[in-house]
Amino acid sequence: MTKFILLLLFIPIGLWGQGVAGTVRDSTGEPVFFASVVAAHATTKATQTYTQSDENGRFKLLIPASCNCDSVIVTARAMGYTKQSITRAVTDTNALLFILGTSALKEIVIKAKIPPVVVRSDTTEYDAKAFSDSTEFNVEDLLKKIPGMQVSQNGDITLNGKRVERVLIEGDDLFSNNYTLATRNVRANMIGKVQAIEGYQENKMMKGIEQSDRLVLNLKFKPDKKRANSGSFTGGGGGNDNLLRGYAHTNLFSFTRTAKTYFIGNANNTGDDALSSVMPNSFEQFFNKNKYSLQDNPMPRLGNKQAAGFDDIGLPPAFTQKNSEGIAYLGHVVPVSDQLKIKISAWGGGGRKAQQTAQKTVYFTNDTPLEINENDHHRQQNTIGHIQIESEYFSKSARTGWRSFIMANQHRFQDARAILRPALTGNTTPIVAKPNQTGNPLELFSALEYTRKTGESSLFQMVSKTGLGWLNTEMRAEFSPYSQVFNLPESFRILSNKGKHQTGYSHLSGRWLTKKGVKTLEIESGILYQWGHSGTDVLLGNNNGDQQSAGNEYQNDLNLQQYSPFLRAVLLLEHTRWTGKVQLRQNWHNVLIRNIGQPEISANQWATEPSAFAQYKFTEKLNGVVRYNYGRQLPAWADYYSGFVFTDYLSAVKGIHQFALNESHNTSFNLYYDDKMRFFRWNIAANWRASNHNMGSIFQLNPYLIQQAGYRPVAISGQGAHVGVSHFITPANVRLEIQYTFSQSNVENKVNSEETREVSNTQHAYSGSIGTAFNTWVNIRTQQQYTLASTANAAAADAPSNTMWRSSVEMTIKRPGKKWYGKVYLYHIGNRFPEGEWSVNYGVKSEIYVEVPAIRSGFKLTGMNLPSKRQYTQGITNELYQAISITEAVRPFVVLCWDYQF
Amino acid sequence: MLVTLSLFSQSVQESIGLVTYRRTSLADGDMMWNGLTSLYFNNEYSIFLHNQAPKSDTLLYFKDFRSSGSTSGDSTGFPIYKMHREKKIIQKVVCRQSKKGACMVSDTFGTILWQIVSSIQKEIGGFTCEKATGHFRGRDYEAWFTSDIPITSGPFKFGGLPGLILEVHSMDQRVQFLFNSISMNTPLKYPIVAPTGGVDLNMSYSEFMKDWNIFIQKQEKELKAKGLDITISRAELIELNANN
Repeated sequence: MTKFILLLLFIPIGLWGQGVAGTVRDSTGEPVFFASVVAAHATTKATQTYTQSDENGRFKLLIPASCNCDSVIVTARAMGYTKQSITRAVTDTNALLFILGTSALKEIVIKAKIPPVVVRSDTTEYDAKAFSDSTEFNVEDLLKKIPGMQVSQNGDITLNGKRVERVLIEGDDLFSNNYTLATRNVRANMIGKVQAIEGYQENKMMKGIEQSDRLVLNLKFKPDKKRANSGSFTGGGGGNDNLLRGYAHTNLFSFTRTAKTYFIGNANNTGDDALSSVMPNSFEQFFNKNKYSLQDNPMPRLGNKQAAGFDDIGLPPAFTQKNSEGIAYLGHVVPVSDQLKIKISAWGGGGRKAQQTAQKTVYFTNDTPLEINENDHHRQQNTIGHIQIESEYFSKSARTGWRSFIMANQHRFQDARAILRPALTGNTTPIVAKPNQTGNPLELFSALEYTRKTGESSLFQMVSKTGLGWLNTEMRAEFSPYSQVFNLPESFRILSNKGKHQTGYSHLSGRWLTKKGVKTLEIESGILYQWGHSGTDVLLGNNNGDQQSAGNEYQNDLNLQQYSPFLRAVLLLEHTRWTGKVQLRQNWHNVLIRNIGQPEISANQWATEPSAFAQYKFTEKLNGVVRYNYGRQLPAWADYYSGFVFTDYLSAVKGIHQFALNESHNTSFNLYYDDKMRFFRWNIAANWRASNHNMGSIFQLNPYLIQQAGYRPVAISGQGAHVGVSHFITPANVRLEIQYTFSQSNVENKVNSEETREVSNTQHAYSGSIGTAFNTWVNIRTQQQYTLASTANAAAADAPSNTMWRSSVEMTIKRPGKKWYGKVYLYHIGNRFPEGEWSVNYGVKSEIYVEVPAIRSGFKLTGMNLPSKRQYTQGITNELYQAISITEAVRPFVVLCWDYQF
Repeated sequence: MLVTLSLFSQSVQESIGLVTYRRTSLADGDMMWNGLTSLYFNNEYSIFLHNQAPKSDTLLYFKDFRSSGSTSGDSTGFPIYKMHREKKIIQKVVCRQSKKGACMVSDTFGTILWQIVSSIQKEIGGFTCEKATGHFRGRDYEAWFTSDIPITSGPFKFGGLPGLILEVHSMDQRVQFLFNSISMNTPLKYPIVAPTGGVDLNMSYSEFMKDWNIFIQKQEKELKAKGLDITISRAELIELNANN
């Protein structure tokens, strides 16, 4: 009974706990106001309760029963005083007195290490410093080190298997499709952050209403570079006993309250391919049906617009091309007001380059595979000028917006070759051909967009686009067999194929989007109008200036008119885990084509094109996407040619004069896993495609202009798969990338317009790269690519195949914190054909850089192609041919550059 | 550089330190204030500023693109002024009552019932921090505070711990304030004063939110009366409710 009474007495005491009261004073006896007083378990040191002292320095704490302790440590702390702790039994009821001594406070300035990756909604922000060893010259060098980012040899960027459409600078799209101008010329140390923006919308009013699958990068400058003047200048020279080399590169940037200005310049003859970043790419597809970008010019191809490409053997051009070229870029962004912004971008440049190649090509298109050997001395000159002005205005209430874009682009090229071919059978002298192509495409393009909000989540938009293009071309070649082919006297060996082309395009459409809950409905209607004229003629001449037409078969006087009204409806459903989208597009094609000596073609056809998209989010990190698209496209405009148009001194295209729409089915499946914070990503992709080409070009493979052989693809199908894994292993700072790509294509060709022959080509590409720690003495980054290609062809007795192994190793030696570094780049190209040995080629580039901070400068010594290598061999096997080319190497040289940054 | 200071040798309205946080909120209505934020503090007062809040009226878009609209800006960064002793907050909010778009409301401070988990510690910015968990207006939070800086404040409206909060994040991972930098006892001082430049509504935050909801409902009714069946979206904020 006594025990029971005692228990009753203790229970309430345990629930309420014990009180601790006291006073906090300083050494002079003055009360310390607002001191923090904490009571902790005497053994475990776990905080039990806490309070602050009042203006008289008094405090009162109630120790909770959960403390389960006999004694507590009571600690008083206040800013500017030393802390004091007193241990006392919980049963002790005496008041505590803390006397705090004054402490000398240290000045403290601490900054957290910036996290390497910050994820904010659809934007992933990479801290450039975290992925850099500060030896990168340009942005592209930096991007190659960011986990999951892949940069191809031509500068195209992908992130975890998704294509990067644009690269913005400080949020502004100044380069359109020519973003390598920025990534290859903006210095890496200007950039503080790289943002990957998914679901990008260039019209901010569309955010929240239209779903977008566009991925762009945004380069953000370092805060200390965003000032009135910042930039760099790099210049120097060198060479070898044969040729002097010079290099000049500059970045000049200005950020003021009223404008942002960017200037980039690059001129050199050291093999740095300054001009390739602005060389015109092929146009966007005529009907760019599913995406909206004001800057995309949907104008049809201007026929033979591009100059022939140079042999790309997987090495930087400096190893195999002699170049001399320059580019200057000026970008200016003026935020006129909070509502109005104007962006001007202009570039211009020019250059020459040359390459020497010996090539053996075996064509499969004939019954007997045809082997051609040629030695080619290839020279090219290009000049290019471009200006684009974009403006955007959004009302203060965000209910209306106007955007406009105008662009003018002029390109001139001259492509000259001197080709030596073996003698024809029965002819003892080798044949020399001197083809020379010129072209001067001029494009003008304008676009205007008006957007108006019709509700909280609905809007109306009108888009008008107009394009004009002019192109004069000439393919002029001197080649002795021409006289035999055209049954002319032997002196008529100069072929001239001149062409004059004009085309115009106009598009007007209106669309209405509304979003209600999980549903978005989009209705669009519009009309496309296109016209074009193409006049070409083939003339044969001699050295006396006499000329004869090759005949009507080789002439074009083609006129085209086309109206295509269309209606498009889209339904999008967005749920927490899944998104589904179906689209139906109905086109009316009204086409009229007239050409000299050909019957008039008039066609009126409906084309219905369905497409569907579904995405399922398995988890926050894992999502799957399925896409299906059915298309009925018009052939490219150039395919309407009915006469021969020489694209090369040997090859010509001839259009088929009948009208039918090409059909295509595309299905793809993608699975993306993205753990952004742990830098672990993988993606799996599979795709299937099939198309019927009811109308297209015959490509004449006419190697000696004696054996006539032509083909055109009538059915193409294929499938592919891709697996990619990337992981950035912290804290070791190892970047690991592994890729495997499989592709198979089956092409059914119509040979000589009669028989059909099927050719299939299979390619397996394995690639991987690994990069090591960035703050250690030695950093290594290596990339390996292994490709197996084989072709099965009814015309070839054995399936031709070849194996190619390309690799590069970049090794940097840099003592952390020291102002120097050394770099060695080792390139390797290996090829093996079934009957042969491995052909192995190496190229080496080396750099030594020493920084002199006192003069804000550095000095870089670059050695190219050391040790000397005379030539590089490579092999290609595709659906049409197998080619082995031997490209002459550029002789070794050294260049010393002064690098000044401010 | 050493500076000797005592609490009584300086003005109580002058900061003795500045801590900056990187704010990330995935709440639709709050995302545009993400980025760097600052807390100027002394023993008795602190003021929290949204450095990257719009300085003037601007367009805004909510996550998942459910809706969009416009918001008012504030050149002072929508300050939250905290009076530690009075356990009171005066904050500048976006409101409909002012043509300039900013109003002043009051709120309580230091009322979160924190559970300190002293056994779990981590280092943030060179300071040993203890973990504390608590619930604040619809979300559970995990906070990391350091007793080495005995200031009972932290980012946003957080505070009431026996040390300065250097990091706090919600357990639903939608709100986080990460430590970015700290400077204390430097010659550079910042006056900590109650915010100005907005209409004083003489309302508490909970009254303000209640008034806002009534206003929205009234708007919806008026639209319905005009035959428009429209529901005005209520964007998610850091504070899911105004209780506590």
